Amino acid sequence: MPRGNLMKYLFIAAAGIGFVVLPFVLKSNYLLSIFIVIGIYALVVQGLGIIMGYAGQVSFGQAAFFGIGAYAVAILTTHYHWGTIPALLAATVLPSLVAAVIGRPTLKLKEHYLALATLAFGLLVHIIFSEGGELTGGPSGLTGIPYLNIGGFVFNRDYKFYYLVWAVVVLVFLGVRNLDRSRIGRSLRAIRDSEVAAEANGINSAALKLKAFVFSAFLAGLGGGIYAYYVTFISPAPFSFNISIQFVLMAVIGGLGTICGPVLGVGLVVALGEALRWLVPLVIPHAGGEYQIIFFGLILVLAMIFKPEGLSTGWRKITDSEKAEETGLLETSANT
Amino acid sequence: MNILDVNGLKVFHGRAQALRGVTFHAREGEIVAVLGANGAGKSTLLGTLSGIYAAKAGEVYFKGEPIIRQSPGYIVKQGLSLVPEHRQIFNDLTVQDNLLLGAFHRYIKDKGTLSEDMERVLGIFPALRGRERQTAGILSGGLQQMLAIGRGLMARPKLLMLDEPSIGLAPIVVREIMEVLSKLREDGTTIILVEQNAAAALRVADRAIVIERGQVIISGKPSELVNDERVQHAYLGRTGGHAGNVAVAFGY
Repeated sequence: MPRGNLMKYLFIAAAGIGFVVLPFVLKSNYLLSIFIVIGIYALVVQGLGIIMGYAGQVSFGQAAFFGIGAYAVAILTTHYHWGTIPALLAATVLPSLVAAVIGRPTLKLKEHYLALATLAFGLLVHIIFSEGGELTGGPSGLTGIPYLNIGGFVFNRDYKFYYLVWAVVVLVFLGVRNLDRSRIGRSLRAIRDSEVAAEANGINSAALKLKAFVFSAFLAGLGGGIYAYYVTFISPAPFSFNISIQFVLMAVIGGLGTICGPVLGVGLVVALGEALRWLVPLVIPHAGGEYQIIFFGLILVLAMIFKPEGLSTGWRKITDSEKAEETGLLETSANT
Repeated sequence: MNILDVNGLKVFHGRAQALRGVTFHAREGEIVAVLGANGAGKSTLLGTLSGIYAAKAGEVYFKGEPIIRQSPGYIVKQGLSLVPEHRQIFNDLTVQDNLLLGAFHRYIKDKGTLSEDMERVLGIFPALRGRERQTAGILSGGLQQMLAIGRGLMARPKLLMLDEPSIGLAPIVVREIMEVLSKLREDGTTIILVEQNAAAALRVADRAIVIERGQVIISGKPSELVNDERVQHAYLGRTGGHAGNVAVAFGY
């Protein structure tokens, strides 16, 4: 499909140019900061997308891994004065190790029990953040995280951070795309479709699910570490169970098992959240944050009704079935 | 020479005993049909041989090597493949990806031979040719079964085990699949065929065993089994016993 490809490349080029010039066009730091947050969340949700979309497991612990990464950077830089590279390394390695340990027993759980186990894990980690005494700073958190500094280049401005975050997002995106097309990606999707058949073909589903879980924690930790450097102060609040639910919401709305889905889902949910923060008080004065939750619920219901496979899949699915019909290859599955 | 020896295999699902000491063997290059009613333990037997279920007691020798309590991955590597019940193809993946996953264990090692093997499978099942890029879930039931068998063959098995490949398929497709099994035997592949469709299975089999309540109650040549009273009783439900009464009630 050369014409389709041309359109695709034009779109990618336009999007790329758009992202590069965005900081010059945007006059307000507020909007730029939203794009930075979208980029950071996209990393976290990309990880969740792997465990949910490819391995078919629901995890409500993603905010906890995100938090472990953030707290690793906060603690190591404020208490122990570590440099950027080792601190970020710790922010990714530590959640990965935790995921490897808790994943071993929990990934054996079937159906909704993994969701419950990760939920419990998320709550537990959140309590540790709030009750960690001097180490975590308790409920008020830790302040004074230094700027991110790579080889003397200090990321002390939002636009610098913007480029850094999106460069990382693009790298991760390419990595996941490669994974998607690799033997591992295919095997993960096979497990989602039929674990018995995957096992019968010699795929070690337990080991593979554990790898996916560890990788998702790795990405969450990376996002968390960058987040801590960006906001320079952290408290337990952004790593609560509610945030885990939001991550799941973003992954589902964007489209599970797709590589563009996470970025789309995060973009939509974050933009909507910000818009609601402006709009709701105009309609209902003195309305608190709870109203946002009502709207998110509404959106999730609408998404499930009209786009159950997520925003990013709509286009591709239509073209695929059209192609199949054109060539007369679409068969109804008889006797199944 | 026996390619597979099974001695006193006992398997539990929780507290329920599914296999109560199964003993049988398969000689190289033959088709062994495994017959039995629903719940007799046929699928458990295949699942245990391929390492998916753990056995409580008993021995399994494949090519003279013990394979009991080995992982499914190891067993596939040794050359024992399972085509699971209800096809269990990967619905969201393409036909090509389904086949490649069949060669999972040697994907990295002999990447070069993969296209050759794929060509062989497409030669055995010409109906799949031209559909490599289609999503497997939209294929018809018969094509899905062919794909499931093809996926099993991609592992280059010495012994292929099929769990009810005829279920839910039109008689003409069943015949086609049975012909393929005969052809595979001629190429030297040993086959264990679990079937409810006893007539179809006995037509292609060299030997057959009948399992009832987790035990092998009869084994022998298809010609002997067709006329055996006990087979009719235990499996076909034509004479005597409870099943016989049901059959009588329906006018047999």
